[in-house]
Amino acid sequence: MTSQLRVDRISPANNSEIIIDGFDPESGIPEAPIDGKLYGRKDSGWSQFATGALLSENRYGSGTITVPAGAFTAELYVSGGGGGGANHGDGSHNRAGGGQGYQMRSNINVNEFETMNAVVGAKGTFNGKANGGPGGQTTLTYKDLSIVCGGGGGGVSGAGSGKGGGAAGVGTFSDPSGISLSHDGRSAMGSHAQVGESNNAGLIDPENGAGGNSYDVITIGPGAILIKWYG
Amino acid sequence: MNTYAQIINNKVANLLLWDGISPIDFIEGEVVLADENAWVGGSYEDGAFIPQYTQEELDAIEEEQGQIRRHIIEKIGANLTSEEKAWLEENL
Repeated sequence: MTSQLRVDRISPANNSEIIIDGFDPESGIPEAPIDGKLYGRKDSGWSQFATGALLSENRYGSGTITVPAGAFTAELYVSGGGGGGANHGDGSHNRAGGGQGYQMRSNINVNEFETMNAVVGAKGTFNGKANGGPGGQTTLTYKDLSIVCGGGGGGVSGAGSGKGGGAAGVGTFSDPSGISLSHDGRSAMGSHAQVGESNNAGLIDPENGAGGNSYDVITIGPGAILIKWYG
Repeated sequence: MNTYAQIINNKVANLLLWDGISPIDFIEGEVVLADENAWVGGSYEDGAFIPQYTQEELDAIEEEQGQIRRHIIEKIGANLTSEEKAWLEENL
């Protein structure tokens, strides 16, 4: 949206000044809050960036999360569980990696002592000789903000060379009241290369949400919720 | 942190990580400690998870893999020495 300035008359004056009559400062862009914090324009108002002092950084399991004292913004890292890989055991051609869980990163405004509801998805299963299982879904809700990160799909055993990689997890972000300052997300399907490795390039949180390879359960990343609290 | 299954209408709707203590009453359905047979999309009947594959299915897969392995060794082994064939059987 473009801000507009109404000008009723421009008249010459001394020393090359231009006097503009009819400009009402109240109708233009309002001043940002002056409280020592950094703000950016969002829609018709100002939103604080998550650049205050880092108070703490915590990983959470399923349950309720209480905004700590002194926190005004939070940087959220949410990951769905990675899918399990598939192994057919008859050579390299039918192996496949599991898909990545969807990952999302968001900065939001928070109020201290309020609560969030968290469900953290587990990693998918690995069956050794058959299809991998899908990863669990991770959800985080705060007020009417909702972040859903689906688990990666399991690799498909015996699909043939160049096929069978687990599906990428799917994510949704809903923020009807506009309490978020920014967000982005990503995921990728599992590799269906003959070697059956997973495809985990570009993960926002490399420790979590990774799809498994076709050899073991170790490489499958669980879902996670990591929150950095800023004052 | 253990893995639990969210059960809705006798189906495993989700697998989640939980400490077993934190309040999760906002989760729909029943939450049950998972075992190695629990998988997203699987069934939960009479207090037990139905595995993704039956033992018969896994046996069939293993038998199929064994047949393919034997065929490969037979075909390649025709042109190998006994020592080479023994190595192949051990490492394939």
